[in-house]
Amino acid sequence: MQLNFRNVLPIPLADTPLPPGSLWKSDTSFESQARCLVQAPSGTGKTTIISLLYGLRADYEGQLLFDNQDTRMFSVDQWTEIRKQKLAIVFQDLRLFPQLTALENIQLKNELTKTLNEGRIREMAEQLGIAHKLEAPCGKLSLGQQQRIAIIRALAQPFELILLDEPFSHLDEANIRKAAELIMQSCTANGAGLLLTSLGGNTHFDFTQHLTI
Amino acid sequence: MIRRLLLQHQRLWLLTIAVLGALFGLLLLLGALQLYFDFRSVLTGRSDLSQAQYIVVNKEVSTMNTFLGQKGFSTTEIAELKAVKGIRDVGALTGCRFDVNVTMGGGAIEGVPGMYSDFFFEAAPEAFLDVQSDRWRWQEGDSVVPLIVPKDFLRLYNFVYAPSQGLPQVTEEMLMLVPFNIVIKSKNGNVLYKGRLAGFSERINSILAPKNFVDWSNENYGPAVTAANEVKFLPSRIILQCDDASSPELAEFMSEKGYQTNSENLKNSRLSSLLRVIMNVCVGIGGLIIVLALLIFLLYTQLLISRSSYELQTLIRIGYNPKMLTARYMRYYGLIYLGILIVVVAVLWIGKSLFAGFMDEKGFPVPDGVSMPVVLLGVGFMVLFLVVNFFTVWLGLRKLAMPR
Repeated sequence: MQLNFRNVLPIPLADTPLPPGSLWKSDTSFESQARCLVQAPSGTGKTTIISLLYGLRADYEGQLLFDNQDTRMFSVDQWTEIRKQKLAIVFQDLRLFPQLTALENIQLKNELTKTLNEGRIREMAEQLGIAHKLEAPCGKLSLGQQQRIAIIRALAQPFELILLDEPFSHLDEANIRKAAELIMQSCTANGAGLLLTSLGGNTHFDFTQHLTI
Repeated sequence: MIRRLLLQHQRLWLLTIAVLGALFGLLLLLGALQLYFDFRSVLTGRSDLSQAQYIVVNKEVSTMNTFLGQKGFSTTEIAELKAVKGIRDVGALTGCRFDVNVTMGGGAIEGVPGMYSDFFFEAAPEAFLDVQSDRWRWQEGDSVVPLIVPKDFLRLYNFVYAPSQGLPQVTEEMLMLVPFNIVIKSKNGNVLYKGRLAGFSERINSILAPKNFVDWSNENYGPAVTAANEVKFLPSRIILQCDDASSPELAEFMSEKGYQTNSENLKNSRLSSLLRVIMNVCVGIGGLIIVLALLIFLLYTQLLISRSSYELQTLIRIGYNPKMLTARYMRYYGLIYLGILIVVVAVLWIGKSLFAGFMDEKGFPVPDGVSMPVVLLGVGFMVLFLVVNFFTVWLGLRKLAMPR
């Protein structure tokens, strides 16, 4: 899938001066297989990029194209299919269900496409060191544990691009390394790319593209 | 799992109020309707409302008529009757414009006494007859004329006349075998026809001959119709085909015009109109409660959606289709409404059998069970509820699903 930002400018940023080389108001395109890093201080629109790409916001000027199709024209059904088959996501606010257990949260997503079996889910949880928490209600987990559950949930589907919105903000270096490894394994298996937003740099992925905003 | 997420914010007390409202409203409305159907069947002696009823109407006889001659129904008056709500069709009974005698037996058949009598007959439009018979036809040149007589004649003979005279009772079939002669006194002398009975009518209390025979013989044997005597030959009796002979509107129209009928039904119209007022009140209150219940369900749904907006939005964001989520909600409401419907019909059923037992004791048999139209109306209301809920849920979910 080819993604193309054509003169895109989120309306809330209309009065903000743009730095040179900014993604906004430019004609930038990249393949979904690319590994992009969006590194910027908070409040500059990192989450906005994710929201635009994931079809959550329509308050922008210009055009955002997927394979030359204007995403503004996509129906609810089309977005649903894209979210099931092409775009995986780790939300910055995680969007887990606190009343369900960690495993149920993952299964809820997995049931849509039956991508993983329970054994594989446990393996992944093992890899991230949270296998013992799978039966606990998500609301009772620490933020770092929840982040790892959200990552596994994001991987429980086929995808061409995974959007990662500050996914490691509550993890220590050792855990970040393990999570990045798991994500890369999945990307390779799916032939997919990733788009990561981060406050600081990230040395665990071999980025092919840096986006400035 | 999804069920838990979708319904965790339901407010049971609000749902209970909505369900009870729908239950009572529906019970009151359908109950009133069922009661109306039942009383109608008691009052009019029929259970099927779609079936037409027939009444024969004449003008009131006053002393003035006796001296001045009776006036029949003019074309305008008939047209006026046709325009009355509830009257489906109007047919004129055509009288004959000549004298008729009938002679029978004369000892020729054993057991049947010889008889001679002045006679008359009328004709009614075919569509208004309640007798089906192969004999019922006449065409120019036929010497046999079929006649239909009222069933009451036979009853009078069998149960009043025959016992008092020590005569045997007869059946319809026996009477239909008896031949008799019809003598018409025409302007050109007497004409003889053979008469045969073709059937017995409950509907029209008169002796009937086929319409084409009466028309033809009036033309050929009776005096010519001129502008001067036209009024004399207007039909004096007409037959009405109407939806409901006990309808208060019809009764009012008839008394206003000075028309009369032999039908008991019109006399029941007072009771019928009282019944209608009671039913209207019940239907009104029931309808109001149902509308309020619908409103509560609507608000309840909006509340449920807005309280669950995090769950719904998240489900949609991780790839659940709003259509599928809507279907889940529809299943939930469908079960609730089905439950309400079953309870309402069951209560009506039980109430009905108690009521039917009571009415039976009083000598008014009431048909068993809940009437189909009543059940269908209940189903209709629940479908309406479901449709309203569908739109509430669907619009709510679409709003959550669309990019903002």
